[in-house]
Amino acid sequence: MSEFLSIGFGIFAVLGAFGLVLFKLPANGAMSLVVSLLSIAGLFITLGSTILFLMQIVVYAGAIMVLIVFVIMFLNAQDDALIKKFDSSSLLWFASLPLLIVGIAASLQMDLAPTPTDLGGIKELGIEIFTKWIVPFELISVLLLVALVGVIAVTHKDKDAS
Amino acid sequence: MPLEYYLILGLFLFFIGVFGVITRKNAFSVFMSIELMLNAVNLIFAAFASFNGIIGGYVLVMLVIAIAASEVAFGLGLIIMMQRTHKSLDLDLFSSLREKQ
Repeated sequence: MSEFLSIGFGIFAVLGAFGLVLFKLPANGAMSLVVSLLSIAGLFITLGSTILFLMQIVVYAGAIMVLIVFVIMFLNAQDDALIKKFDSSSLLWFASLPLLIVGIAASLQMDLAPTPTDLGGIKELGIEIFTKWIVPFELISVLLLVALVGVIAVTHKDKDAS
Repeated sequence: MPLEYYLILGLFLFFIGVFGVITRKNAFSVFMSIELMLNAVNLIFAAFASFNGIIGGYVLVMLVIAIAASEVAFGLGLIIMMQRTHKSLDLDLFSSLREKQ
C-alpha cells in the first residue's frame, strides 16, 4: 500500500511539473503546480512526517498558490504567455543534463538505512525547533518582517515624488 | 520505497524546474518553476531526514518553506512593479543589466 501511494504521488508530481513548464498560459501552469505540490505533500506522508504534510498543504498549496493565482488574475497575464522559441540559452539545460545523470548514479550508489523512521510528528519537531534550532527560527521571523517591510517600500508609490 | 526513489524523483522535479526557468519567458512561469525547484529540494531533505532518523532535516524543510513564503511575497511585488513600469511580463525585455539598451 505504501509503495502504491509513493509511486502514484510521484507520477502525479512529475506530471504536474511537466504541466507547469509545458502549458502556455500561466494560470493553467499554476493549477498544474498545485497538483504537483499536493503530490509532494502526499510523499511527505509516505516518508512518515504528518506535520510537513500539513504545512505543505496549508502554506504552499493554500497561501502561496492562492497569492500567485490572485496576482495572475489581477494582472490578466495572457498576451505574452508564449513559450520561448528554442534558442542558444536552451543549450544551458542540455549542458546541465550530465549533472542529472551524475546525480542519479550517485543516488544509486548511496548506502543508507533501508527503512523510513516515523518521527515527523508535531511534538518531536517542536522540541527540536525550540532547543537546537532556536536561532535560525528567530532569524526566519526577522527575515519575514524584512520581507514585509521591503515589499511595501518597493511597491509603494511615493506621492511626493510624482 | 527505497531512498533512491525519493532522490531520483527530487532530481527529476528539480531538472524540470530548471527547464522551466531556462525556456519560459513569462515572469510567472519562471517564478513558479523556482517554486518547483524549492519543493524538489524539500523532498530530498525530508527523504534524508526520514531515512537517517535525523529530525533536523524536517526543521530545514520548515525553514525553506518560510523562506519561500517571503520570496513569493517579494517576487510578486516585483512582478507587479514590472507590469507597472514596462506594461509587459516578458523577461527578455528586462535585460538592462547584461546589455546596452
